[in-house]
Amino acid sequence: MNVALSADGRALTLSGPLSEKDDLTRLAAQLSGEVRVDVGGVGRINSAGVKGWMSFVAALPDSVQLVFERCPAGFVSQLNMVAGFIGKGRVASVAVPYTCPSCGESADPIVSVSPLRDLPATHGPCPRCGAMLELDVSPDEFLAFLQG
Amino acid sequence: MTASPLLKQVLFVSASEALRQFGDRVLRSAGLAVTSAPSAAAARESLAARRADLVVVDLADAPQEASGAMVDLLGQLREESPSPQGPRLLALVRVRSADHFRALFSKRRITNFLAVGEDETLEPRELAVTAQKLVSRQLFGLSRYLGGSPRLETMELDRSEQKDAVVDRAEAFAVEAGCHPRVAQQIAIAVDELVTNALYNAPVDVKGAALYAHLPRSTPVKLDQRIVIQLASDPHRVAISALDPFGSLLPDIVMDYLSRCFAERSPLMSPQRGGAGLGLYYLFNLLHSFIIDLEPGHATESIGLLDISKSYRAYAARGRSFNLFVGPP
Ligand SMILES: [Zn+2]
Repeated sequence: MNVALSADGRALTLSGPLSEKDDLTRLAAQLSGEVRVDVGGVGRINSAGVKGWMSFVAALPDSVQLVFERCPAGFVSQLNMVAGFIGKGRVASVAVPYTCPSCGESADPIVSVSPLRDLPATHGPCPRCGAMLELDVSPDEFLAFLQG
Repeated sequence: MTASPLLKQVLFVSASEALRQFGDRVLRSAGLAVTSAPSAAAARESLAARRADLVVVDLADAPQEASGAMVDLLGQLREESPSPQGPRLLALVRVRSADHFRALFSKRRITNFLAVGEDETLEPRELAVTAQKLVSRQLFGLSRYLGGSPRLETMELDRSEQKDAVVDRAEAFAVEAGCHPRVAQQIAIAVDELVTNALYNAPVDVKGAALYAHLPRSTPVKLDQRIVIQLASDPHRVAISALDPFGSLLPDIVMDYLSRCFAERSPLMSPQRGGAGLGLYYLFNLLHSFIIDLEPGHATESIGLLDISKSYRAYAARGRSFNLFVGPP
C-alpha cells in the first residue's frame, strides 16, 4: 500500500492493495486531530491486511479523528463485514459502483454520505454505448455500515 | 420403476413441490435412488420404513432462532446419527443474513448446506456432486463441479513470495472467463486467502504440530512440499482450489471459527487462534460456494465456486453455500 501524508499531517492518501505487507502502526503516531483520508485508490484487501489495519486503528491516539473520503466498494465491504473497521472515524463519501447492463462499462461516482442521500438507480448514459449505467449494489446492503 | 436397493438412498424433504421434483430429477440422474417427503412428519414415516444414506432437508425460510418442524427434524437426525453409518445430512437454505449463518455454524452445527435460488432450484451439478460426495468416499477434484470440458490451469508453489503472481493470474483468469472486473477482484482475494491458508495454516510436522501458523503473514515461508492451486471455468462458473498435502484442518475448529466470526464480526478476537479464522470467514463471504475436502493427516482441498456474474450486484445477491466433507483418515 502506498502512503502519502501531507506536510501539515491533515491529509492522508492511501492507495494500492492492503495486505500483510503493510504495517501502518508507525503512521498512527504521526497523526493528530482531524485527518482526511483519501482511500479512493485502495485496491484488494485481504484478511491479513485487515488484521494489520485493525492494529493501526487501535494504535491511533485519542485525539485523532479520521474522515474517510472516496471509499471504494472493497473498502465499504470491510466497513460492513468487520466491526470497528474505522474505529472512531467516520465516512464522508463513497465511490458508488455503477455498471452498464449492455456493455459492462463501469463508473464509480463519488457520493457524500454525510448527510446520507439516496443512491440513484441510474447514473447517466454509458460513455461507450449510451445505455443508462445501473446501480451495481443493493443500496441497503452497501450502506449498511451507516446504521451503526 | 423401483430403484435397485444397491443404489445409495436419498430422502429429499421439502415443502416445495417444485424443489422436490427438481431434486428427484437431478439426484436420479446422478445415480442415486430418491424418495421425497413434503413434511417433517412424512420424512419420519419414510425413515421408519426404509434406510436413507442421505437426508436432504429444505429449511425454507425458517428464521434462525425459531424452531420449525424442518429444523427439528434436522436436529433430531443429527442427534440420532452421529455414527458414520447413519444418514448424512444436507440442508437447503434461502436466508442470507449473518445471524442465520451463525446459527447454522454454531447452534445447528450444519457442515453441509446449499443455497436455494429465487427460482426454487439449485445449481444442478453442484447438488449432484454434493450428494455423491456425501454418500461416497471420493471427495477430491475441482473439475467435477464444472460442465463440458472446463478450462483448467494448475500452478504449484512452495514459497510465500510466489503468492502475488498466483493472485494476479487468478484475477486475469476470472476476467477472461467473463466475470465483471469487480467480481474478478473478489476472486483474486479469495485465491489470496486460499494460498495464505495453505502456506501458513496447513503445514504441520510429523507429530501434527503447526509449523507456521504463529508467524506473521509478512514473514516469508518455504515449504518442503508443494501446494497446488487450480483455476477453472465453464461458461457459467469459475472454480478455484488449493490442495495441500497435510490434511491438518480440524472440522470442529472450522465450525467454531466461522460461528465466532459471524457472532463477533471482528478480527481482533483472540489473536492466539492464528489467522485461519478470519481467512475462512473471508472465504465464506467472498465465494458463492465454499467447499472443504478433508482427508485427515493426508490432504486438504479447499474449493471456491462462483457464478460468472456480469455485475457486482448479481454476485453479491447470490446465496452462499458451504460444504465440509471429511474422508477416512
Ligand atoms: Zn455501455
